[in-house]
Amino acid sequence: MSTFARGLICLFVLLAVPGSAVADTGQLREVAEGDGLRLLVFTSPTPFRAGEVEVSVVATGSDDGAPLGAFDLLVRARRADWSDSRPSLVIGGAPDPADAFMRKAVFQLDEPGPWSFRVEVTSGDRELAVPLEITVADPLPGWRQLLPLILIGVPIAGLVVVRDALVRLRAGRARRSASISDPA
Amino acid sequence: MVQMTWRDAFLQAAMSSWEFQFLPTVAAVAISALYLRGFIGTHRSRPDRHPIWRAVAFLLGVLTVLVAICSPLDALGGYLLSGHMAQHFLLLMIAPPLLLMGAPANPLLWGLPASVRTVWVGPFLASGPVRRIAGVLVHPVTGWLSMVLMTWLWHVPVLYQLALVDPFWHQVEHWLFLTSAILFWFPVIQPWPSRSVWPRWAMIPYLLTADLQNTIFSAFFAFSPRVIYPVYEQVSPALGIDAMQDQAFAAGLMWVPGSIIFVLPIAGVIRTILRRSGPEGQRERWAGRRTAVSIPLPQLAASGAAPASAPARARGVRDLLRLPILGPIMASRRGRHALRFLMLGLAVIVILDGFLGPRTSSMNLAGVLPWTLWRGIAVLLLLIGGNLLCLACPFTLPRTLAGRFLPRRLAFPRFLRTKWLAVALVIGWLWAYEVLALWDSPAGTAWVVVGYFVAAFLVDAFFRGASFCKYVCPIGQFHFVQSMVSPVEVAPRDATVCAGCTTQECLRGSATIEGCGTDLFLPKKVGNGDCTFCLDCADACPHDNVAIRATPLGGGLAFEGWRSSLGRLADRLDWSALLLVMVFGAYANATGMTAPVLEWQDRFTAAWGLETHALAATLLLAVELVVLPLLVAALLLLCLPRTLGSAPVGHPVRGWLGRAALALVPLGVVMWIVHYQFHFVTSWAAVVPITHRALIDVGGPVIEGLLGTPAWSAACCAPVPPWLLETEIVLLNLGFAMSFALGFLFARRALPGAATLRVLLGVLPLGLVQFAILLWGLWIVLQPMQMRGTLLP
Repeated sequence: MSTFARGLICLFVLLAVPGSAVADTGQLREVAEGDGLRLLVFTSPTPFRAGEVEVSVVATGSDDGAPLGAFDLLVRARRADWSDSRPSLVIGGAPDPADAFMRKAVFQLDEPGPWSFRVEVTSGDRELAVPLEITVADPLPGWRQLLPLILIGVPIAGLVVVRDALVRLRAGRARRSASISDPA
Repeated sequence: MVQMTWRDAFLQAAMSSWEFQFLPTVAAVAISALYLRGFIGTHRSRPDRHPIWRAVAFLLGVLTVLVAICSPLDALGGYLLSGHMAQHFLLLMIAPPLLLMGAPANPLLWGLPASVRTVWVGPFLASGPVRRIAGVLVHPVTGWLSMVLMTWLWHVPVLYQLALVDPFWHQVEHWLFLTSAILFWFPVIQPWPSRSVWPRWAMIPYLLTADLQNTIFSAFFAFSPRVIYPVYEQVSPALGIDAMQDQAFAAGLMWVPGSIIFVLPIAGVIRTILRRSGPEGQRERWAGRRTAVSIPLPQLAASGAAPASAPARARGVRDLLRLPILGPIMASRRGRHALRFLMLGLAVIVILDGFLGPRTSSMNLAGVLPWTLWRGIAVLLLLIGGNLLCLACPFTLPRTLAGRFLPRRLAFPRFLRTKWLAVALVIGWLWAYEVLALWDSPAGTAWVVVGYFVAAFLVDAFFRGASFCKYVCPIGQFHFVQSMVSPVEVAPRDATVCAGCTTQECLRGSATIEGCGTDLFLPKKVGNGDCTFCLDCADACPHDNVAIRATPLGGGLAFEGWRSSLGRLADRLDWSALLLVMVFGAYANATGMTAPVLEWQDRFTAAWGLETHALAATLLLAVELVVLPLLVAALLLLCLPRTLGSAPVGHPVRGWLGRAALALVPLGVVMWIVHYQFHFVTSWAAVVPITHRALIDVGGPVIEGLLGTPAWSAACCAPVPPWLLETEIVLLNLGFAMSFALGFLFARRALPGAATLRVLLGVLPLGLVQFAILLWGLWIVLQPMQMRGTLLP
């Protein structure tokens, strides 16, 4: 086994981090057409949990599929069991720097349960609203979302122990071979 | 609004979807830097094996990985199968061969610091079981099966759509594609210095069968009567693209360019076989064999010594004093004074603005310069460059002044020549910061700076040497402890010169230049404890034998022997107390700004009918800075002598407390970094409007006419960048790993012949304390933070 093969292990470890590409779209919830617009509505996280959530919209012309350069996004959210006197949450969308096709509205949904959303898109004189009914699951604790990273020090510390075992193993073999070659 | 054409709009949206995520980008830069650092040495020692084009290939490979995951392809992959396939094509077919053509083994190994390479990586690479596992991994059968399996598996609709909607599985998918493809291409490229386990001709069927499965795979997509991934059936038409056409295009992408990539190397293999079969090839082969015997492979044993055949640059010892521009400034007495006067100027600005400027901290230079900018820069500089901050300390100027006009004959009182006074002052400093809210009081900050100058002058006016720095200054103690982790220290350039020196000017000084103010004798000095980097030793040394050079990471903490002026550090209770206070102080200081703690202080204050948080904060600090360290010290003193026996050198029982305190230092250092970087990253921009305001205060309407009004929005709560939390968590974990490694090292020295499990059980009490501190740190960074040094909304 060559030095290169050994070095390859280092390379794998080093390359492990660049593999962290992030999917941009989330879960496709609805496709709607009307007033010359075609909307794709995505939500994230998947599954949809309470906490920080994202409603993203891609808007194109329904006739030619051309992505709209600029459009306004408004998301209205309310619990299905809220009384009529309680106002909806209204969240404005913003461009997503990682995906210029999209506008996204990022907001906090603290309560799990059935929620009604209304996704409104305006582009010039064209308007389209998409209603969504989504059951929001319980939130994940912050530490679980970061689980792959959060205790990464423990396996690294484990490597210290493994290294010690390997050094001892090697030293033991060296001692044994020395005693065989020189029995005196 | 002017409607763009479909193609324009599509291209514009696609091309602007770049996202350089923090961790992949940093990792790519780090790997490239590591490779280049090693490549410089390997290219010099073996230019025939490491020609420049190999470095170009490797860097292109890294760039390809970045393009695959950060470029518009990543965004397009959500809408178009062809976009996603192009991403996979880069990760499977382009990046891995390029990376392997860079022959990265030796450059990456030699790019690592020598101590890491030999002490930490060496035993793994020299280990039989690890080598056998690596041998299995790079075997052609493993490579072929892994890439084919990954390709088919991740294109099963359920898994493919899972990766499309869940970022975590998308990461896993890309990682597996890249690693399996590296394994596949390994026997094909057979990068130097690996040797083929199969004859070279075997690569022809190897590649042809891979191409065959790729053809079947692509044909499946091309001739499928329906859209295989339902999500594209809905998404692609929205962009005006037929999902079936897109699927056919994706299939063509994998089929045609994929086949070309598989077939091209076959031509190379045939050419190699033909060349080797001729008489010239025979000669080349024999010459190659002879050369192979003398290849300077890195000797990756557990010993710390670099082999004689190591590339020249990898063995070289860097000296910061030899750096261009910065080196001469630091090496020259006048240059250092110039730096101190520069810092004095900043201190004067802080004092003036603190007393005369606005009372709102986030609008005052006394609020932002010391508490946001200086601390953020300081913690990083202490880690990277050792105690360079003390080198430019303006508080040493009173000493210089006092030395010129006053006799300074007194010795510092013997009973105060310990760290106990410093421990008390550090606790007092942390208490004052929290309870008096120094960060929120420009005038208070200005008084502290003035008081510091007065105290430094009074102490150094009467007492010899750098008594203020060594025994009094809390900031100095902070620097000493933080820089103990740094791999940079003041040390002799050549130990043999010191061995032959009898006059010892570095310690005693000469007729015109003082020696070391903190009584450190350079040849016996270990680590950065008590070293202010003042470089008086460099001025005094007649042999020009003083350097600021790299040393093994954590070497100063791991050293158990006698140190000049400090003695055996682990046996000194005052040092142990200082280290524990610094470690727990880091966590106490950060805990004080978390929302749950502030809410608790509110509740406590209301429940007791108090007007301020002073009592609540004092109680909390008393627990964090006094009670907890005492409990931990008692626990460790009780457990470690029982589980590990007597300390191998020095005091048999007390020595364990010192070792445990030393082993906790990295955990403290990372917490200070995490805390101060949080403020720095989110609030550094505040200095712009504040400086703007200060200029207007000084220059009046003329300046205001020129510059306009300050943009105060820049001073208000910059959003926390998404990468910050991940970086904080990684840093805390690295601190924990280093702390654990130090503890384990001390335990191994105490039980040199014991089995690994026995040592692990022995060090378990310390390990559990370290783990508990790690959890404390993780809890802190996951809490909502109070934004200090900024305008609160």
